[in-house]
Amino acid sequence: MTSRSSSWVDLRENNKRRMWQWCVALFFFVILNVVGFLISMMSLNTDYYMRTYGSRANAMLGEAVKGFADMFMGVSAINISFTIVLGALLGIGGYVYLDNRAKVDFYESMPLKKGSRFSVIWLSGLIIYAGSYLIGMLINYGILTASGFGSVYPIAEALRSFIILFAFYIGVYHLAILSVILTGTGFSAVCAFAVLSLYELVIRGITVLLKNDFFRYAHTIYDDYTPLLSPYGLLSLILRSIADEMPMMPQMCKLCAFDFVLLILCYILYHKRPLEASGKTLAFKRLKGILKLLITVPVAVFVADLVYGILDESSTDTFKASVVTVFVAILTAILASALIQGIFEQDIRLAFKKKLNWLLCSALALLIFFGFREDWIGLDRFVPSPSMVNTIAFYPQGYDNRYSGVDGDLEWEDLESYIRRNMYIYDASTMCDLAKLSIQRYDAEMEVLGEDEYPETGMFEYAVVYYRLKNGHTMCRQIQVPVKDEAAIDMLDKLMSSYEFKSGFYDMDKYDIRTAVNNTRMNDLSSRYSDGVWEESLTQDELNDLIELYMDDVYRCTFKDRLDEYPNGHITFMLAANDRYGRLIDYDLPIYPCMTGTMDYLKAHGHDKSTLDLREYITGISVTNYHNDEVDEYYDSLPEGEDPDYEYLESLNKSWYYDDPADIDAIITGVTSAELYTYRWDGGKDVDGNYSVNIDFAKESDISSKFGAYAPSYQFFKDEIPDFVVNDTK
Amino acid sequence: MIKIDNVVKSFDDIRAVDNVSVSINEGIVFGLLGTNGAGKSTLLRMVAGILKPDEGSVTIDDRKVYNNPKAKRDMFFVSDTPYFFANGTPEDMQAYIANQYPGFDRAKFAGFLKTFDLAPDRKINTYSKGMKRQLALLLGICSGTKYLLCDESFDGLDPVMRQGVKSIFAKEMDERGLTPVIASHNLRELEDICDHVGLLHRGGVLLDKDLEDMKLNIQRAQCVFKSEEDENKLKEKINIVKEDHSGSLRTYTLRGTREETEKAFGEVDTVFFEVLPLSLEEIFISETEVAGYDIKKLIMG
Repeated sequence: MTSRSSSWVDLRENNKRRMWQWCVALFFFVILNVVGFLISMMSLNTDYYMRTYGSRANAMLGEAVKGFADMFMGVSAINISFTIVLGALLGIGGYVYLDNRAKVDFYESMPLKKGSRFSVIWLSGLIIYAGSYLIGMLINYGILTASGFGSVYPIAEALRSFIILFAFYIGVYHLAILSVILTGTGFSAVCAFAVLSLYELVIRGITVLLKNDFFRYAHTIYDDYTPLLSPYGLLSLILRSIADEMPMMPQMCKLCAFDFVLLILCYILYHKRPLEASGKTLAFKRLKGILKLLITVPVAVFVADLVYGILDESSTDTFKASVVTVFVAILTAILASALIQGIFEQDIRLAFKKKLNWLLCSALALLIFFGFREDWIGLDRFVPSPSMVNTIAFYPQGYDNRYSGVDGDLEWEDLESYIRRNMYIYDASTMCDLAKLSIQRYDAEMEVLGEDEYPETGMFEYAVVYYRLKNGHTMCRQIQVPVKDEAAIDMLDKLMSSYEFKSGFYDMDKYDIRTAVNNTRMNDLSSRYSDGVWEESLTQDELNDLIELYMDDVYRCTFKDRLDEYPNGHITFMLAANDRYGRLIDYDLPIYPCMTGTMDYLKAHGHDKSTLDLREYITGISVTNYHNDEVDEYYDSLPEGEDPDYEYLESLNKSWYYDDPADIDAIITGVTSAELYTYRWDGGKDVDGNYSVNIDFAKESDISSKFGAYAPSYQFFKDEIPDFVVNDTK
Repeated sequence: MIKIDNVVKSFDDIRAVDNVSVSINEGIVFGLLGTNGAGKSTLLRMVAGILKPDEGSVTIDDRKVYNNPKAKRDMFFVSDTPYFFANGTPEDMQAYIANQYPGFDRAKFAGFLKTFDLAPDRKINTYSKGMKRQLALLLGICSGTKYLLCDESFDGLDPVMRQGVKSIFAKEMDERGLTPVIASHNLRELEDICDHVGLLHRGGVLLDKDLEDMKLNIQRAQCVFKSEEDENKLKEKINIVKEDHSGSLRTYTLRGTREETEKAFGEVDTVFFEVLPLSLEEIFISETEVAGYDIKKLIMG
C-alpha cells in the first residue's frame, strides 16, 4: 500500500511534470481573465455616469460592474470556453502517456497500484483547474473590493459560479480521460473527445431534421437539441434553471451524477485497458464494430435525407427520388464504413475489409430513414391516452395577439417557453380528444388539397401541445385546430375557459405587468386607452386599477363569450427601462364587451370614448375594395418569371366616396379600427381584409386638430358590409 | 525466484508468447535470448508487471506481479527505449524513482554518475543514446531491487561502458544478491556475463539451460586415428553431437565432461588428439542444431 506521504510525493511529482498545463490554466484564469476584468473596470467612466444619471449613478455603475463580474467571475461564455479547453487539455494530457510505449513501460513498471496512479493523475487535473480558477477569482474579487464594489457581487455568488463550472469541468475532463482510455494515439484521443462531446447533439439534430422533414405534427423545442448525457447539455439546463429562477439543484445533481458515472467508467476501463494498445486507433478491439455502426449510420441517414430533400423538391417522382436515396445511403454507408476501417487499421489499403459491416450499416441507415419517412411506428400522429398523461400545456399561438411578455426580471420572454413552464391543465381527456380531432380533420383536408396546397385561411389555427407524461417524459406536438368546427369549439371552450389555462397563459401579465409598472427602473411610463384612433391618457393609478380589473375580467370571461365579440378598444402602455440597455417594453390588452369590470371603470373615469361616437365631426368616408381574391387568382395564374401587370392590378382596386349622412350612418355601424386586432386565432368575429375604410373629419373640429383630418385605419366586420358599398366597389 | 508458468500473451491474432515456462533463480545472471519478434520484450514486460498474461502466471518470490506494488518493489525494469521526463535531469529522475523505491541508494547513484561522467544537473534530452542507456541502468542498479530486468539495455553502450556496467553487476550480485535478467538478440553480448540462458523462438522456449552445465557437458575434440577400427571403437564410447571430417582429421562435438572425453580418447589408439574449449556461440550452435534449428540464423544474423 502506498503511504499518505508517498501519495503526496506522487501528486507533487505529477504536478511538476504537468507544469505546462499549469501555465495554460494560469494564463486563462489569472492572466486573461484578470486582465480582462481590470480593463473592463478601468473603462468605467464614473464622471459620465454621474452626469447622466445623477442620484442613480451609483446604482447604474453597480449594474455595469455586476455585468463585468458576471463575465469574468460567473458562468459566462468566456469561463465556459476556458473550462472546455482545460477539461480537454488536462484530461488528455494527464493520461496520454498510455499512448506511448516508453512511458507505459516506465510508469507501469513502478511499484504503484493502477488505482493509485489513476487517482494521482485525476486529482492533479482537478487541482490545476481549481487552483488556477480560484487564484484568478480571488484576484478579481480583490480588484472588485478595492474599487468599492464588493457588495455588488457577493463572494458567495462567485463561489456558486465556481462550483457550477467545476462540476461542468469534471464532466468535460472525464470525457477527455475516457477518450484517451478508449483510444491508442493522441490524434485518435482528440477525435474521440470530439465524438463524445458532439455525438448526442448530432443525433438529436438529425432526429429533429428527419421529424421536421417527414412529420406533419412535429414541433421542435430547445429540449430536443439538449443532450442529456453530456456535461454541455446538463450545464445548459442548469443555466436555464437559473435564468428561469427555478431551483438549480436537481440539474446540478444530474450533472454530478453524470460526472460520477463517467468517473467509475473511466476507472474501470483504465484497469481493463490493454497496455499494449499504445499506437493503435482503438484500445478495445470489440468497440470497433459498435463504433463504426454508431458513426456510419447517422452519417448515411443524414446524407440520404439531404439528397432526398433536394430530389423531392425538384421532382414530383417520389419513386425515383427513393431509389436514388437508397443508392446514396448505401454508398455513403460503404464509404464511411471504409474510411473508419482505414482509420482503425491506420492503413487505407485495408479500408475495404469487413464487408459485412457495410450491409449492416446500410440496412440500419435505410431502416431509420424510411422508418421516419413512412412513420412506421406512428410517432407523428401519436396522441397519448389520457391515462398516460399527467398534465398538459397548451399554446394557441397568437391567441389574443399574444406572443411574448416579460419575466420577473423584466426581461423579454417567449410566451411558449413561459407556458411550457407554467401551464398545468389536468383535463387530459379533452385535450387528447381535441388533438385527435385536429389531426383527423387536418389530414382529411390535406388529403383533398394535396401536400402543396394550404387550407383556407381561418379554418385551422396553429397550436402546440405539451403532454407531460406520467413516465416523466414530455411529448410535444404541433396541431392545426379546426376552429370553425363545433366540436372543436366546445373542447376549446372547456380548455381555454379553465383556470389552469388562464393562469398559465395570462399570469405572466398578472404578476409581471404590475412588477414592471411599479418597478423603479421603469421610470418612463406612458399608458392610454384607445379605440384604435381615439386616445385617452391614463394615470399610473388608473393603470394599476385597470390591470387588476382586466385580469379579473380575463378570468371571468369564457372562450365562447369572446367568440362573437370584437374588442371595443385596448389599453396600451409602454415602459422605458432606465437601465444601460435602454429597453422599451410595450403592452397591448384588448378589451372585449364582455369585460364589464374594465369597461365600467373606463366609463366611470370618462375614458370610454370612441371616434365613431363623434358622428357630428364625420364629413365623409372613402371605401376601397382591393378584391384580394382576384389579386391572388391573378398571381396564381401568372407564369413563373413573368412580371405582373401592375396596371391591371391597380384597376382591381375600386374606391367610392360617401358624404351622404345616411350612407355614413350605415357604414360606421359596421366598421372598427384595424389597429385593434391583427390576427384572430379563435376564428371569432373578424374584419374583412378586402376593404379599407377612411374617415374624414371636419377640418375645424377638435378631433382633426388632435388626430389629423382623417382616420385611415378602419375595416368592415366580416359579413357586415352594407349592400350599397358592395355594389359601389364591385 | 521469478517463476514464469505456462504464460501466453497474444496481440490481436499474433501469439507473441506461447506457453512459456521459465524459472529464474536468485543470484544468477539470466540471459533471455531470441531474435527480433521472438517474444523477449513481451515476456520481460509481463515479468515487470506491465502486461497482463492472457494465460498462465508470473510470480516473483511467489507473489503475482501484475498490479502488485509489493512484488514490483523487488524488481526494476530498464526498457529498451528508456523514458525520462521531458526536460528532466538525473536528479529529477532520482527524486521520482527514490520515491517509488524506498531502497534507492542516493549516495551510490551520485558516485556512479561521477564515475560514468554523467552530470547530475544536465538535461537528459541533451545526452547521447549511450549515455541515456547508462543512466537508465544506473537508476535500476541503485533502486536497490532484488531483480533488474534489462531489455536490450546493452545496445548502444561502447565496450568500455559495457564492461563497466558488467563489473557493477558483478559487484552488486556479490554484495546484495542482485539478479539481473538481460534480454538480448545478440548472443555475444551475453556470453561473458550470463550464468543461465533461455532461448526464445517464435514465442516459445527453445532452450533453458545453465551455461556452466552447458560448457561442462559439451566438448570439442580433434583427432587423427591410427585405424578405422579405433575410430569405431571410440564412437561406441562417446555421445557425438556433430562430426566433421577433413582428410584424416576428425572433429567431434560431443556430450560429456572433459575428463570423460579425455578418458575415452585415451583408451583408443590415436596419432594425435586434443580437447578444445567451445565458445558459447559454438555451444548454442550445437545445441540448437540438435533441436533442428539454425542458430546462426536465429541469433547471430
